[in-house]
Amino acid sequence: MPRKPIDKQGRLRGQEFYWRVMRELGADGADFTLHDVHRKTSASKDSVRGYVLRLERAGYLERSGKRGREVCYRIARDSRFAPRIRRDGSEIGTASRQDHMWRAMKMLGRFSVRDLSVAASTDEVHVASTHAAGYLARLARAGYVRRVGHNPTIYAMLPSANTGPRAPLIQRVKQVFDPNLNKVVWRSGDDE
Amino acid sequence: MTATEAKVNGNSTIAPLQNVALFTSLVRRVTERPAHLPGMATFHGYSGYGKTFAATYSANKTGARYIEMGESWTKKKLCASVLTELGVQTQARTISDQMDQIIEALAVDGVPLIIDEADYLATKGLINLVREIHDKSGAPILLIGEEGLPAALSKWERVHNRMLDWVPAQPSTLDDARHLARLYCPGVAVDDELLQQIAEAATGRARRICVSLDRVRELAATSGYERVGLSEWGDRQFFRGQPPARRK
Repeated sequence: MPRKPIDKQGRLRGQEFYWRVMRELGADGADFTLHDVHRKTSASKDSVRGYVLRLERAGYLERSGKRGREVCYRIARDSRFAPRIRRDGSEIGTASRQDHMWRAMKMLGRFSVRDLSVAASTDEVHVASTHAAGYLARLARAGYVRRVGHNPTIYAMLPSANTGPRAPLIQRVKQVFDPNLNKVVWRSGDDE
Repeated sequence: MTATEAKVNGNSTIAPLQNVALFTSLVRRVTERPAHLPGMATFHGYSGYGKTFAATYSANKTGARYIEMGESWTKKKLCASVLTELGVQTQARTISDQMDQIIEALAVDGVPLIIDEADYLATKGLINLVREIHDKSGAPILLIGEEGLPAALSKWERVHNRMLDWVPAQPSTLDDARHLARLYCPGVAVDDELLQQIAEAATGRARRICVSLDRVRELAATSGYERVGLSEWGDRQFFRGQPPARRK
């Protein structure tokens, strides 16, 4: 099989990659062992084992028997993205302020900072207008939104900006990372 | 911790608004329906009633997927947009292969799909594609559109049978205006008489109320008012339309 070009290769790492391996091995209810998963990764067996145990605790995997001395697993609950689970088996709530804003931005299309903070807030996730302003300022630099009005400031989402379901992340190193594209879309210093 | 918790309550969200409650309850009904019932529904009403705005709350609570149709959309564009929104990276070129991937992803995710400007589904005959997605994935599908959406969809009998409910969005009430004032003019007391006039000028359109409230907030900020009533407002105009920049 020809090698895929570099930008088409799945560059999943860590848990995202282990989970994809498990979904492939476990397709249509097939069994697999920890060894099967580990063999397909370049990670340590401990880190794969740690994730498998968390998945089992959270109910994504179940034991389905033994192959020799090894435990067989089966996917008990499917998910397209790697579940994020704490050591005790509880799930890490994935909806962050940025996730909420990203979804609301795509829905509203054109909005003031206050519109966004109001529409993106729920009883569990509060988005203050300062958060909305900060997120929008960064996304404007990365080319996702544009200022189209003043007083109050109105932003518009650009048509090409809907890259997928996952919110572009403002990272602490002052860059914007789009997990849908697996790409850094803006770096501090880019426009200075 | 208590300071944060105090902020995170119904008063700082849009949840108390009438249309938000209607849409949230609709999403709950299609999501928790018994297996033998269909899982499609419409949320329809006049432009400016704040349908999409109202839908953001439930969309974020349920992790829903959302697409907004366009005038120029074809089957291919519809499939490609849903795939992007689902985060499926695909090499599939034909519509039928793309449909398989959409159905699989929605079936695994188990979250609702919201289709906005769904009027185009009817005029373009794309509605049968959506019905197929619904039938095969079992995912709840919510169609948001104009007042005429139910009539336009009822032409397709098989579509009509998939609808669990048709919910009309409601014009904003004075209660809605009061709550919007809390959200858009925090720290400013807006008198009921003024709100009443703002709501009347807006003819029930939430979007117009928000624009007027932005002006109230600005007036309060520039003049240092903590309370704005009819006398502070004076003979300034209320927002009746002609938005300088539409929110949506």
